[in-house]
Amino acid sequence: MARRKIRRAGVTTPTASMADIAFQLIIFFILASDFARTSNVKLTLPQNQDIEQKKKLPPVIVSLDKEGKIWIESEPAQLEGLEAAVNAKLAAAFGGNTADYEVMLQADKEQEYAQFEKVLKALAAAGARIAMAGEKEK
Amino acid sequence: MRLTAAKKRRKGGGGGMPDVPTDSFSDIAFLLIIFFMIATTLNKISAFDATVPSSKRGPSSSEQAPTVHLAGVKILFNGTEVTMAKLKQELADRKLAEKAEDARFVMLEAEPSTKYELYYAAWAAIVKAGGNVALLEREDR
Repeated sequence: MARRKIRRAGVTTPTASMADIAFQLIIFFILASDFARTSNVKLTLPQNQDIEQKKKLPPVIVSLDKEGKIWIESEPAQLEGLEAAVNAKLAAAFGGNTADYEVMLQADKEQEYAQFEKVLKALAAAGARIAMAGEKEK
Repeated sequence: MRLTAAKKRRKGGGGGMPDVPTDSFSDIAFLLIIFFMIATTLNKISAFDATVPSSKRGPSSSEQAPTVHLAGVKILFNGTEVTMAKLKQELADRKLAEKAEDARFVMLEAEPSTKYELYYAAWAAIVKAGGNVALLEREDR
């Protein structure tokens, strides 16, 4: 007598809505994230409890890392031409409206004041308002 | 015998729109998700606004403005060594936010070897207390 094979019903996962979920996630990341503009810069910001979260990042970010290298966004810069370079970036971002010029300055917490002072003076000479970046201490 | 349009479609004849293959839509969607997850950051930056006037010591400087001097790891407020908590208390006691704009200045100077972390904390404390920082430039620099 021939045996009849019993076909067991397998469990199938419905995947019809997977594409919809994927697009929802994409839209979330597009709206909620901010492209990293200083990905080349490695530094540790000072922690402080007296600072507040910035709702909107200034368009120009100047960084001073632990080795003393200066960066504008992710591009290396020199101290000698820093004021002119920042001025050019600000003019491009604000269309020459100097009253709105704003720069974010971030420096490594282990950096010495002597180095930081030079960068600060260059930015002050550029005529921009400066936001000093840090990490909110919890 | 002439075929109606419905019969033509059933027969598979010409006139129908070609199907757009959608099998790889989900693959493309996941690739885009991975791209955005790698290329973007969700970190939020905190900061305080620093206005940068500067003044040189001399007859024109305001002798009544308090001075914060940072020497290495030491904090000197009007020449007296204090802790950061004491500095914040001193600044709060002066009620700088209630004073006129030109009376809110706090002179801030630091030795070249002072760590940025301490300088940042001192500046943030002054701004938090409602003061404006005036940077002192040493004449011998």
